[in-house]
Amino acid sequence: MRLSVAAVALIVAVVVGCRPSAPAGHRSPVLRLVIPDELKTLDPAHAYDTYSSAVSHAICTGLVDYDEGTSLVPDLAAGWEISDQGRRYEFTLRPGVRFSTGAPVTSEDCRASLERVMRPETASNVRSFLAGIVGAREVMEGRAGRCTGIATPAADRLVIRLKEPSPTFLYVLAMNLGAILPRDTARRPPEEVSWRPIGAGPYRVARWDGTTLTLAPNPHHPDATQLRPIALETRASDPALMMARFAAGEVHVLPLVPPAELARVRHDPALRGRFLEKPVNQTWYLGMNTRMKPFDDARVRRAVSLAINRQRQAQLEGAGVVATGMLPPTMPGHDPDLVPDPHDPRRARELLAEAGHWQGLRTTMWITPSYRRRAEAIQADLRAVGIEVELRVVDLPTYLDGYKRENTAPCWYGGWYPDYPDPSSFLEVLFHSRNISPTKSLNATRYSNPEVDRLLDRAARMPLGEARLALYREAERRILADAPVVPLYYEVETRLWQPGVEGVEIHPVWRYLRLGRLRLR
Amino acid sequence: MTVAAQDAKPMPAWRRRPLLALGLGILAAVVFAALAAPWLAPHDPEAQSSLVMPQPPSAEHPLGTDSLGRDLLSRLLYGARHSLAIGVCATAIALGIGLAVGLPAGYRGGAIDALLMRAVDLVMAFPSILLAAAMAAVLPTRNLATVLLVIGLVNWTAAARVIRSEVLSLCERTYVEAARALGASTGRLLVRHIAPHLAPTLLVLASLNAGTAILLDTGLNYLGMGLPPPTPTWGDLLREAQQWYSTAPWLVIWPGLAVVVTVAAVNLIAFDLQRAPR
Repeated sequence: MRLSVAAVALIVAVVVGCRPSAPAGHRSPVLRLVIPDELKTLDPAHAYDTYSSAVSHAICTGLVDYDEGTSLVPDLAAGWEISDQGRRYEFTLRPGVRFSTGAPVTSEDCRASLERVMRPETASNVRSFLAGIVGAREVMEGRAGRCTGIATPAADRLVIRLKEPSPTFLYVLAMNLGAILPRDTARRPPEEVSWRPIGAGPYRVARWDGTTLTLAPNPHHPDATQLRPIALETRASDPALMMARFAAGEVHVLPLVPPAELARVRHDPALRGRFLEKPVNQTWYLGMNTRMKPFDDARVRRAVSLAINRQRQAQLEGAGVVATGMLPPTMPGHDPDLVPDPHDPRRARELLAEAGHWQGLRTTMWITPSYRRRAEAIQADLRAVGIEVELRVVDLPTYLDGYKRENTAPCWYGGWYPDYPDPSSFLEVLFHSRNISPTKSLNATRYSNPEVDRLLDRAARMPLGEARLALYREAERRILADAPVVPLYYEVETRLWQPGVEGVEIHPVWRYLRLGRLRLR
Repeated sequence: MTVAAQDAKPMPAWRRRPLLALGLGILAAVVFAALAAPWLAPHDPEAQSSLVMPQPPSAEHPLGTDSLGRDLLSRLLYGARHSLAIGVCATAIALGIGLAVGLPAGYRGGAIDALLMRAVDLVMAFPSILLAAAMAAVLPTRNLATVLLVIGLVNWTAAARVIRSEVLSLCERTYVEAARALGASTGRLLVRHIAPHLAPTLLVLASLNAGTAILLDTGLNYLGMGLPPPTPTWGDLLREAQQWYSTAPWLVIWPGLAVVVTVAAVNLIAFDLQRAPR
């Protein structure tokens, strides 16, 4: 009898344990979300990848943020004034703003937060973005504790002085590194902040068990009453399984519709109004090392550009828009008049013959496993014109090291999305000869054109506006004429959500959901 | 009765050993398909079309196409060549290493035996697929030869152990002791008196090992650590099929079936050889 009671208990336990969790439909008290990757940190001084930065941004916000597009709007700041020809920024803090602890946000907190990013013991990999502030170098090198370029004339006023005018400084402050923490938190060791950061954002960390992050609304945030707690499951990496779990109602928002399901989802009347697809600030390209054979010859690079079927590349991952240049349509400075090279294998073969490769040539393309399918399509395109490509499939760290190291990767499949929506973070970073270095070369194609350098330098010194963007367009045209890269397609993101969920968006800069904007009826 | 007994025909070999016959039959079919792939395959296995979605089976593509428009049947047939090559060659390497370790360990015993067997324990402490993936990751280039080597190098431990224990037992046999008493050298003892008696054991080991090698290779390719694209391998076909299993199940079914049937055939042969009287 004892045995049978135990058996019944076991069966009940198994049945209860195996039952799917309650569907994420109406009246669910918690928003259940997933991210395909692991969550690396919540510390705004370190959060730099797509998911960590988006989640950290829900907890720790900064002085400025983006609207639905790429324009900056005040966040913790009520407004700002720029003077001294773009060297002095004075921010006025929004009255009544409080951290999740209840403490008011003051200019001293802002100073402590920015200095925290600069300090060597924080070991932030993004601190160089603040190097333009007067006195920042001294703090970064450990020679000073306080940054002389940051002043706090009043509890609600912050002044930042720059060494040189920088039209992109506000964009830098909109990154995670510009997030404001209470000054006592900012002085704690980084490991104490990693998973328990305090901020003035819409959410605070309730629990982190290594797999699922539970966020509770910040009771002092103006939107607190409209927010629901969030259970964010990490490492949900199987897209097909996620789709099945979404269909079963276990997940409120699917951040990426698997390519295999996209055609069905687009035409499913039941999902109308709950599906979104939109381009973001990311360009996929084929990069070629202009100092390695055979790509040291511009005719070979042009031939590659003509040999690749961009339309097919754009469709292989489900959604994508054929790239006409490096700057995506959501990016200020995008040139709508650019036309991509046609898919013209015959002309490609002629160019190769002109370059002396009438018998064909061999090269190696570096890729990570996730680029494999798209790279195989390029491999077939290039084989059709006589270029035999060996695909070198390596893990991400080897790939990142390899294609940026001199004389290592002749060509590679790459994707770039910028830190902020300014053409400089595409064109200057990737194509200015100043950024060529033996290892970790940001200009990995090692493209060097003095005229392009001059255009980029001139544009970088100009204030934001149409004249500056015109210079970037001119630089982009010259770069494309030299073809160090073949722009393939602009990334298009997809979202699917359950009835009752509101505020789902695809933002060109914040690549995951902006959690503070989600609502659940 | 006597007459009837005299009239009875001897039972054909395939009825006496049906498992062996079945295994050999399936394996022969796979070998034939692999060897005749250039004639049997309806398309170039690497030829892509302009498609970006897998196509279901049709008259032109009897097993359908993958998401790059490549004919699945042709890729399966060419993939069989790779899998069988791995099964045979990696097994040869593994048995070679197994013999090189198992023979001296079993024959010499003592410190040499202890040392060699601890080396075996060390390699066995790591899961084979993990060890193979780690080795493949540090290879400067990946081609058939290096993949063969990796699989051979992680797949020899069971062979070494079995050969050692078999040699230990053979060394006790009277004919070995007699040869030793007559002054036969170690080399002669090993080559003339011990090695020939290992043959049945080696045959069983080879068939077991071939199945494991094919599975290991499939696993490596599934993880993207096998041969570089576009060479078709069964593991690679399964990896590619992963994201399409709900919308294009044929991409999973056929390569999966190919692996299961081939490994099952090899294991049937091993099973029969193990049970066969020596």
